Amino acid sequence: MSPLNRRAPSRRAPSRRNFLGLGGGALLAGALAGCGLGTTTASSRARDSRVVVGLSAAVTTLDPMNTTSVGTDLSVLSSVYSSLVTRRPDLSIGPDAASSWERVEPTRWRFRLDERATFADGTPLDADVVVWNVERLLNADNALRMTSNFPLLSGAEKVDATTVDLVTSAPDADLLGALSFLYLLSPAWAEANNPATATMGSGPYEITRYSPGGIVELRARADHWRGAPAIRQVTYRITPSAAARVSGLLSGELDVVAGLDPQDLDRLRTARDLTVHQLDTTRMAFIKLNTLTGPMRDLRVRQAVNYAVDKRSITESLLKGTVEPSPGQLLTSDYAGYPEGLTGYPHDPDRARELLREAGYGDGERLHVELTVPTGQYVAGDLIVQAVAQQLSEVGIRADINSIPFTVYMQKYLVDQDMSDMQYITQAWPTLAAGGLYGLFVSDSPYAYWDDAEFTAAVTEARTTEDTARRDELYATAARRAREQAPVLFLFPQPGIHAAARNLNWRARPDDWVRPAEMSWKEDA
Amino acid sequence: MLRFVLRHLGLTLVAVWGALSAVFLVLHSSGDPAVMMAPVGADEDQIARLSHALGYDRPLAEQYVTFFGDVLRGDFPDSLTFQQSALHVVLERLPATVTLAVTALLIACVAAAAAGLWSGSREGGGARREWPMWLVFLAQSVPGFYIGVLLVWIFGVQLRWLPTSGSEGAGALLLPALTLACGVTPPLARVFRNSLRGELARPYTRTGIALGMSRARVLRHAAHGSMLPTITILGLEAGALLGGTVIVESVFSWPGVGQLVITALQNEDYPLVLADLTFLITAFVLVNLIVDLLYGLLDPRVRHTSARS
Amino acid sequence: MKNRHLLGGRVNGGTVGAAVLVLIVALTLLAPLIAPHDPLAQDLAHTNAAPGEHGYLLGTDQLGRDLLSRLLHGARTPLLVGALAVLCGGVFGTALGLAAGFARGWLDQILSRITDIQLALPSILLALLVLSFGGRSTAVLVLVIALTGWPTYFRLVRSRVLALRTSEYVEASLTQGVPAWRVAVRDLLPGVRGLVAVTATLDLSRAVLMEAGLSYLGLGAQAPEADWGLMVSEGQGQLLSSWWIAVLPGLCLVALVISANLLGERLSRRRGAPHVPTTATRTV
Repeated sequence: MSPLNRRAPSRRAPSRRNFLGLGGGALLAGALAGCGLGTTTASSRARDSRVVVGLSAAVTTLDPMNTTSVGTDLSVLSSVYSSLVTRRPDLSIGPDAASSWERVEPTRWRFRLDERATFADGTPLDADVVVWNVERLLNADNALRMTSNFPLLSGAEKVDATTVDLVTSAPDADLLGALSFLYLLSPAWAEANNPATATMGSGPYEITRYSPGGIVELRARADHWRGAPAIRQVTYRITPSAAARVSGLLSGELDVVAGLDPQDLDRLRTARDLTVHQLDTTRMAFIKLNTLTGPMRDLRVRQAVNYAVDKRSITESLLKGTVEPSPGQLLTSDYAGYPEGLTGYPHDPDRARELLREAGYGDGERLHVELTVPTGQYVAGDLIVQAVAQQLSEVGIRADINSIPFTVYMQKYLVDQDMSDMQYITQAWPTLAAGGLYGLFVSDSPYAYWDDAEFTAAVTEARTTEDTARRDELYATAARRAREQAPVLFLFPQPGIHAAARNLNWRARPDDWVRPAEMSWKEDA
Repeated sequence: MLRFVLRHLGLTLVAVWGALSAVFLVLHSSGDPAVMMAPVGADEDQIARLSHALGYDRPLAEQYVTFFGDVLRGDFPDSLTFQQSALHVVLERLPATVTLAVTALLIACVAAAAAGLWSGSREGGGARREWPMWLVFLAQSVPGFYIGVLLVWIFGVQLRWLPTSGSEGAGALLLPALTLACGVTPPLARVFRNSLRGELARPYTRTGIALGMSRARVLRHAAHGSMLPTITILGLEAGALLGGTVIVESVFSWPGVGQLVITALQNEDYPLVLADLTFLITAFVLVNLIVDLLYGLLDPRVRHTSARS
Repeated sequence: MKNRHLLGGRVNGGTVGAAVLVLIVALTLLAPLIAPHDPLAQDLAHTNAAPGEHGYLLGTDQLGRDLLSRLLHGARTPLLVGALAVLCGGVFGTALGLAAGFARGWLDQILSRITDIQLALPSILLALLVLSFGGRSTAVLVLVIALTGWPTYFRLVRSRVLALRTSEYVEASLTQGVPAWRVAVRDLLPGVRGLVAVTATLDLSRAVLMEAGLSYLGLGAQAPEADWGLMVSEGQGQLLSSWWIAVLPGLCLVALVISANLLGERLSRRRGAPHVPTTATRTV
């Protein structure tokens, strides 16, 4: 989790030897080099308390209830709006607009609001505001994307001006986690404005420039009720190309970039002015197996593919050793309810071949499966499936790779319920509760493609169990069952590689949030 | 003349209608866009509700009629990803594309003029005369995306002279504009070179030279005479530029309408794809219409033959 | 103008183009025999090897696959898809052009309007649309490239046929009661053959470029296949550390397109083809 130290003392000088003359290009390039191109340097930005953040995708909406993209939309909006509670960089839950909270009944949470909390236009953030926001969220006619993160929330009740109760239809252990990204709008303002294209919040920043899909600029609110943040100005630049993000970091155009490719680690580590943060994310990568139809119905085949793949060779080469293979788990260790003590499937091609023979696939009958991957969606995803397919072929399984756009992939997976034999996916649950992520594997979930009574019973019971020890025991049962039944080809957590200017104080987070309010420039910068 | 204009206008409208219908049909032959709108964990009921709220569960014919009604009124449905008027999103991206296209066109004009003058005005043959045309030929044979990748590699990565993405400042504009210009320069340079050579071979030029006119003056006259055919090609290329921006904007993440249509396609943002394509197609067809009309205006023969056929 | 002198003025561009084209085709056909490695075989211990390292002459890619072997195999898809697309588009466009120019009247009107409509859509957009929403396979790829190519043949053939049709021998044949289709095939087709051949050569470079562009955008050839356009896109994220992965396949692509263009230009000059639109060669 700690920032990595730099390796080499100096950044490689631009090499003229590698320059390819493109008829008259040298002349032109000389002319270009002559004109000042007006990019500010990190040190001048430090004086102005300004940071430039590189985003991998555009901010598409400013309505915090109508997006679930944490790395882009929500990260930006979390600076502009406040929520009742917030998730700190160490993943614990802390106060935001609510100064304290308690569970007064199993299905009723009471929040005491911070009396200083006000919107930028001076109106107070009081109990009425919370009630209005919960009603907006729960109104099915609004078709808000955030709504499905609150499956059990049934309403909000005002107790007094600064006290509000949230009521759930059943005990909901995930509620606080979900509330940490329910950002509160001002009712009067929201009725007069379009929250998708404008903002007016109670957070530490305000947006000074926004065009859909283009640059976003923030300015710190000097009058913020919690005090102004250290970074005064923030610019978000959209750089979808990985190479452009890295060269932007190296040239000092960008101060912070999250979600970098492991292949660029070596290059980044040699840069004198950068700190590289490398950690496991809360997102687990695996290849989901369709246990309902086709060859993956057979437990022996599912175990065979787990034995066939050398997870470590992939983490060492494609992911540059940034993560460790998972010990046969669906969860990463950040989840509440993560059971210790499991071991992953070892790399054992002979065992894999043996299991395949038992399942009836021998020399005459070769197993032929389809392996789907969403194009460019996951860190190194396209490479990982190619490595997996190659290793499967070594035990006699022919896996045809099908790379399709994420939307088409989701359509097949969730709506058509027509998942291919195998698909690469990474899954996380924003509340970091085992019950949430395991919920994607219970029998009646459209995500599951696995109908296992024992696993489902354990998870269902655990989700409503108050006693922590008993709950963890149930989750351990579920984890052992999943390990043994192999509804997935277990891989590894998705690596999180972030880089920032060396003079910037910033602690990279294992979830996808990037918050300027958590940054500051070092004094000597 | 009026008949000529009306005829071309009519043909343009038919072309736009046909192209848009094709786009609409292709888009709607695939799945339900509500799927991607729904968050992780949404069940089928929630997706169905969302689909209903957005109108994607209505009969195709009804959506088709609604769509064309909207287009005629300039009232596009909201973009799914941006949650605001799709036309508004497109228009907001427009300045970036226009800046890029105009810069590329200027670069192309200068390059074409230089190459054309060099090899069009020189006597004799061989490499000394022809090398600019070889460069032009090369530019025509290199895929735009590869030119982009090479330029990023050389100027952005190796030399670090220029930013490799974004739209801030003159530096960011240069690489994509150069890439785009590489695709437009060749036809311009060739037409200009050839007509320049034609002009120089004409009797009046020879007379001028015989009467002792300076070389520069002769060239100026000849270049003047070569303008009309070059401008015609220029107009046609302005339309072709729009197609080129799609790739170039994607390579450089230039926030224009071309990149927008690619991301909208990837996100299956139907209203945005429709609005963006409507816009691109209309612009493309309009530019071609204007060129046709100008051509008819400048050259009466065209007007008469096409009115008869 | 008549002879484009290259290489010291003795060899013309058309010959060079033809020679390089033949070489590329030969290397592609022989690739299974001469490639030092399986183009799909991964060596995870030696990923991103620089040219010459670990015995890989041109280095390896992110999965440790031998780049030289992938380059040798990488022309197969562009050539195959390009040739098939040219064939389909050429036959279709020529047949319709012949019919429209010969029959004139309403058939000509309708077909000409359809080409107008199609030309109103920039071809790259049309291809993107069909491939994004209409499914992806080699057959669809061929069809979509052919679809964006046929109007060129149609327009050229139609206008040539319109001119030929008024000639005396065609008129004579028709008045003698020779069936229209026989006149078209016997008298008109030979008249447009040269034109179609030149157009097809230039169309090949357009088709190859389009295949490469679509593969670059992820809509053409699919991983793990070795395909030059796809290889450029796979390698472009690695330009910082391993330039060879993207740069070398692009150079091969350029060589292929240049040779087809050189040959096409040479042919068109010899045939004296009046107007083969140069813009068609550079759609992406």
